[in-house]
Amino acid sequence: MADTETTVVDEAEDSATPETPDEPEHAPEEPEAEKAEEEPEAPPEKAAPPRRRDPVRAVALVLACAAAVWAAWSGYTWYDRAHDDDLHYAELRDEVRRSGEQAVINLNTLDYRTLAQSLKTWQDSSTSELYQQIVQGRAQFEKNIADARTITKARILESAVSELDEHSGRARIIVAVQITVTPPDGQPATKRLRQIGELTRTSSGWKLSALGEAPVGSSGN
Amino acid sequence: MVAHSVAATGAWLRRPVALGIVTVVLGATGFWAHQQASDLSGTAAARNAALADVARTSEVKGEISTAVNTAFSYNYADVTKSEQAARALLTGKAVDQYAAMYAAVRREGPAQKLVLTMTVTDSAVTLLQDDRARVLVFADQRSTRTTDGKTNYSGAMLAVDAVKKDGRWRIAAIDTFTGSR
Repeated sequence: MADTETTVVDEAEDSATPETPDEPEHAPEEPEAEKAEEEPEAPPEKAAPPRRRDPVRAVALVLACAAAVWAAWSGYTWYDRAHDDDLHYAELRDEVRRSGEQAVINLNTLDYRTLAQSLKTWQDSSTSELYQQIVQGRAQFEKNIADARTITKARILESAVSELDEHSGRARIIVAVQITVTPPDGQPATKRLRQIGELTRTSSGWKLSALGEAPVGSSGN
Repeated sequence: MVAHSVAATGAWLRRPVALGIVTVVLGATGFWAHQQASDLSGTAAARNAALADVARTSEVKGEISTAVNTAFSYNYADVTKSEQAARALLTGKAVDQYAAMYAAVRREGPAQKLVLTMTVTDSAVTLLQDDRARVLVFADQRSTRTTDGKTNYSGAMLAVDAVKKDGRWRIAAIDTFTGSR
C-alpha cells in the first residue's frame, strides 16, 4: 500500500515537474517569436506600415481559408459519392448484365469438334438447377451433338436486367439473342431467340441458374 | 527547442507567402477530390438510372408497354381509332418506322378482316437517363383473320427508344432486330 502511494505521488510529481518549467518556457518564447517577426518590420513600423502589410496577410489568410473549405467540401463530396448506394447498385446492375450476356453466349455456343470444352464452359457458366440439368443430360447430349455434327454460335442483340436483388444475390435478365447453326452439309441457319435467364451470385461471380425461351401465346387467349 | 521551432513555424505560416503555398496545396487537393467525385458520378453506369431508380423504371416500363400494346394492335373494323391511338404514342423517327411496318396491314387488313392484338409479356429497361430511355420488350402478337377465323400467335421482340414529352413516355424509335445484322 505504502509503495503504491509513493508511486502515485512520484508520478504526480514527475509529471508536474516538467510541466512547470514548460509553461514559463512557452510564455517567454511567444513574445520572442513575435519580436523576431516584427524585427524586420521594425524600422518602417514607426511610419505605420503594419497596416500596409496586414491587408496582404489578411487576403492570403482568407484565400487559405477558402481553399481549406473547398478542399473539405470536395473531399466530403468524394466520400459521399464513393459510398452512394444508387451508384453502387448501378455498377452492380451493369456487372450482372455483362455476366449474364457472357453466360447466355456460352450456353448458346456449341461446337461438335470441341464438345468437351464447350460443355465445360456450359458448366462453368451455370449453377444450381441449370448446372444439374447440364451434368445429368451431358452423356446423351454429347452423343446427339456428335451425331448431328453441328456448330452453334450466338450473338447478343440486346439484353436488359429486369430484376436485381442484391441482398439475396438473385437477378433476372431478358436477352435478344441471335443463333447461327451450321450443319455438316448445307447453309448456316440464323434464328433470333427471346431468352430469359435467372442469375445467382456465386463465389466465382454471377452464373445462370435457369435459362429458357420466353413462352409464346402465354398472354391468354 | 521544440517550443521555439513550433513558434517559429507558426510565425512562418502567418507569412503571406506561406499562406499562398497552403492555399495552392489545399486548392489542388480540393480540385483532385472534386475530379475523383466527378469520375465516380460521371460513369456510364452512374448516369443510367435503370433499375436503380425504381419509381422511374417502373413508370417507363408501364407506359411503354401500354404504348406498344396500343400502337401495335389493329382492328379492321376501326382503322381510324388504331391510327389515331398510334399517332398519339409515336414521335420522331418512330412515326415513319410505324408507317412502313404497318403498310401491309393497312393494305390487306380490311379485306382479310384482320384483328391484331399485341400483348407485352416481358420488358426491361436498358437505359434511363433524364427524359430518354430504352426498353427491351418481349410481346405476343395474336393475329386473327375474321374471314376464315384463323388465329396465329407469334413472339415479337423489339427495343424501343422512348422519350418523355409532355409528361408522358412516347415511342421515338423501334428496333426489331431485323436489320443488316
